[in-house]
Amino acid sequence: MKVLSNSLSYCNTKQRCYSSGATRKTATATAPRTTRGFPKLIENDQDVTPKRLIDPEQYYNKVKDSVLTHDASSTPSEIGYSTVQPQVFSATKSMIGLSHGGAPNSHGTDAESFPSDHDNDQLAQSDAMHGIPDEESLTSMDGETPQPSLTLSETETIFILSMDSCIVAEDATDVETIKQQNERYIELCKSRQGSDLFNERGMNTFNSTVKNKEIQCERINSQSREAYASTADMYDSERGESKIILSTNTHETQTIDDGPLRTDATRSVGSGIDKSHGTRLSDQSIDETMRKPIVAKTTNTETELPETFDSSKIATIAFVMERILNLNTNQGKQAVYRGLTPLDKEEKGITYAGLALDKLFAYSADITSNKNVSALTWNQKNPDLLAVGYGPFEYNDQRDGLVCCWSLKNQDFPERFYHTPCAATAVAFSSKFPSLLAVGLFDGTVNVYNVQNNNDTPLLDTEEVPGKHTAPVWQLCWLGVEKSRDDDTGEVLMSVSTDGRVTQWLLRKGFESNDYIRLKRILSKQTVQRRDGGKEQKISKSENLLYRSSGGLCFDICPDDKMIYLCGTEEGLIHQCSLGNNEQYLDTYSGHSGPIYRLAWSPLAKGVFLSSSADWTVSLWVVGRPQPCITFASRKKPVFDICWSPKSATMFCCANEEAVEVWDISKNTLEPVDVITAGQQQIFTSITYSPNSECVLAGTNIGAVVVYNLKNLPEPATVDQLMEIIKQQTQHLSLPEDGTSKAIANMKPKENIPMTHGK
Amino acid sequence: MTQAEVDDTLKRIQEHKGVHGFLIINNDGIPIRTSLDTALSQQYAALIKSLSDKARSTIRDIDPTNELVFFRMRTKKHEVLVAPEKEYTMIVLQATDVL
Repeated sequence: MKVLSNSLSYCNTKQRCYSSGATRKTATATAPRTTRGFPKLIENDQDVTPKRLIDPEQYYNKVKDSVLTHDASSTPSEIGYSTVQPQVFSATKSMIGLSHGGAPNSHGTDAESFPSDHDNDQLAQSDAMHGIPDEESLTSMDGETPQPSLTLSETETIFILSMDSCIVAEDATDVETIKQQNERYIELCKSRQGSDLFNERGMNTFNSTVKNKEIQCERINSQSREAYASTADMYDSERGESKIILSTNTHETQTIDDGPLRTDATRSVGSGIDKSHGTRLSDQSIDETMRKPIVAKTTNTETELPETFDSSKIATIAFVMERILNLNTNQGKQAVYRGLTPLDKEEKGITYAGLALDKLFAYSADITSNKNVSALTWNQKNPDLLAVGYGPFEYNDQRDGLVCCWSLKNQDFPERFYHTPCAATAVAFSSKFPSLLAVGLFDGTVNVYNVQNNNDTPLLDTEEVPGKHTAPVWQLCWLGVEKSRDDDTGEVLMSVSTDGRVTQWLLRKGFESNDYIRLKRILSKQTVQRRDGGKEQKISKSENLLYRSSGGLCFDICPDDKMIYLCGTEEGLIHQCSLGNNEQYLDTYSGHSGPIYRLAWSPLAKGVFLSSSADWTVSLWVVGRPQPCITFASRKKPVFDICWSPKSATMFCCANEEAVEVWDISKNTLEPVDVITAGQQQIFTSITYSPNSECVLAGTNIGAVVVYNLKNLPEPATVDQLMEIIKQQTQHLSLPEDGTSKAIANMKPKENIPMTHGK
Repeated sequence: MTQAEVDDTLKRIQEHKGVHGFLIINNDGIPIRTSLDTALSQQYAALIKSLSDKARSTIRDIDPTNELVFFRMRTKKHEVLVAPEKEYTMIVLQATDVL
C-alpha cells in the first residue's frame, strides 16, 4: 500500500493558513494514485468503459490549482479567525504552530508520515475558495472596516479515511487474488474480537473553547393571510371573475408593536361607515361571506358618500320583487286561475250549484281607469299575456287611447303600455312573430308595436300609406300566407273598417296594402230572391260602377278553410267571401236587424258560426242556410262581444251592456246558464275565454278587465250534440219557398218568443 | 327600464298591500334607500346581507353555474323578501296576514 502523498485533509475554514497550508506536494500530487484503474471494456472497437460520474483526477487538478493561487496571498491576519472549529486531527494541529506563513513543504512531510490510505473527495471546495478573495479585499482596507457580509455555511465533511469499493469484472486477470483478499478481510474482521493484534481503545477529541456571542435583530413580523375558496370561487377564478380579495392592511400610523392585532367581527362589516379613529386591521381569515370587508379607511376618506344612486340598476330586482309581492297577496286567485288548489283552504261561504262564474280578480291600474276596454286578445306564444285596447266606441268622446299588455303575474300594473293618439279599437298578436302586436285605431291607422320594449313609438304604422283606412279599424287578424317574394314575412295583416274595405297589409319595408274586397251594399231581399232562382246573381241596383259601400264591422276566418271568411256589416248582413275573390260575395246571410258587432266560427263544429248584433240578439248560423238556426236573446241591450268555449261545443259567452252571460245550448236555448250582471257604473264591452284556464275575461268601460272563473263546468259537449240540437231547431224552421216575406214572417215570431221569456 | 319607471315600480311596491317597508343596500351593506327608520335599516342591512351572501355561496358551492335570484323568510309576524343582485340587494317586509 502506497502512501498517498496527496493532501490529507482540507479544513475549509476561514483560516487562510489552512487553506494555503493544506496543500500537497505540487508536482507529485496527482501522479501516484493507487486507485485501481478500471479495466477497459472494448466492444466493437469502441471504448465503452463506463466512466465515473465524478472524475476525481480532474477535480483534484482544479482544486489544486485554485489552492495554489492562494499561497501567495495569505496574510498573517487570517490567523485571527478563530470562530470555526475544524475537525482537526493531531497531525494538522501541529500545522497551526508551523503555519505562520505557510510552509507547504513542512506540511507535506508531516502528511507523508501518516500511514494510511487516503482519498479525498471534496465536492464543494471550490465554492468556499471563491468566497475568499472578496473577504481579502475587504479586510485589507484601512480605516473603517466595512461590515463584511458573512455567509455562514456548513463546513464540508472531512474524510479521514475513504476506501471506495471497486467493481471488478469477472473476467479480469486478478479475480482470484481479489477474492482471496476479500476472504482474508472477512476473516480478519471476525477474529478481531479476541485477537491480540487488536486492542480496543477510546479516543478523545479535543473540544475547542466555545465563545458565546449574542446578537439581536429587529422583530420579524409575520402575518398570515388566508383566503377560503369555495367551489364557486374556483369556478369564478377560472373564468377570470374571481372576487376573492385578501384583506389589505392599510394602517399607516400604527406600528407593529402595538398590542395584538384587532380582528373584526362579522357584524362590524355591516356597521356602516366607520367613524372610529385610528385604523383597523382587517380579519385574517376570509371566506366568501366576508369577501368584501370594509377596508379600513384612514381618517380623511372615511365619510365618503356613495355615488348618486341610479335606479335603473335595480330594475331587475324591482321587477322581480313586485311580482313576488303580487304573488304573495294573490296566490289564491292565481292558483285558481291556473287550476291548482290554493294554499289556504278558505271556507267559501258560497257554494255553487251548477255552472257559475266566480270573480277572481281584475286587471286594473291607475293609467287605465275610466277607459273603455274595446279589444282583448291573447298572445300566441305566451298564453298568460293579454293585450287590451282601450278606447271609446263612439266618436264623441275621443281622447288618447291606450294599449296595455297584462300578465297574470302582476295584476296591478301592466307589463307594457303604449299610448296611442286616438282610441284603440282592435288588437291582434302575430302568430309568426309573437312579439308583434297590431293595433287598429279609431282614425283608421294601423300600428304595429314590438312588445319587447315599452316604446310608445310603433314599429310600423300606416299613417303615410296610401291605402290607409279612412274610418275606424274594427278588427285585425294576422294570416299566414305563402311567401310570394323572398322578403315577405310569410304573414299578412287583415283589417276591416267602416270605410267598406277589407284590406290585406303586407309588411315589407313599410306597409303595403291590397284590398281583399270592397263591401258593397246590397239589399238583402234581393239576395234571397236570387237564391230561389237557383242562380247566384247579385244583380241589384248596386251593381254598377257606382255603388254604396257598407261599413264592415267584423270578420272571422273559417278555421277549416283559410280562404273563406265571413264579414259582418253595419246593416246587419253577413257576407261569406273568399280571399281570392275580390269582386263578389260567395254568400250572404241576413237575419239581423242591426249592425253586427262580432262574428265567431265555432272552433269545434264545422260550418257553424255565431253572430252578435246591436239588435239585442245572438244568432247561430250554419253555412248554407241563409237564416239563423237559433237566435238567443235575453236582454234589451246590444251584444258587444261573443266568444265560443274552446272546449265545449255548445257553450259560449257573450257580453252585452249589462251582463256577462254564459250560454249552454244543450241545456237551454232560451236563457243563459249563468249571468253576472254588471254593477251600476260599469258595462261590459268585450269578452274572451282564457286559452289555458277555465276563465272568462270581460272588459268593462271603467278600464278593468275582470277575470271570472267558471265553476262546476259540465262535461264538455261534443260537436255531435251541437249538430243534433241544430237539427232539432232547424226542423222548426222551414226553408222559405217563396219571397222574403215568408222568411221574415218566420223570423219575426221567433224573435218575439225569446223576448217574452227573456228577462 | 328607465329610472322613472323603476321609481314608479318602487312606489308601487311601497304601496302594495301589507308592505311594511323596503330597503335597498349596496354590496358593502350600506343602505341606499329605505322606508324604515335608520336603526332598523342598519340592522337589517347588516344581518340580511351576510345571510344573503351565505345563501348565495351555498347555492353556488353546489353548482357554480347556478345563481341565487330570490329568497324569502316567512316568520310569525311578517315575511322578509330578499332579491340579491350583483350590485344591490332589495329587502321588502310584508305582513303575513295579508292573504
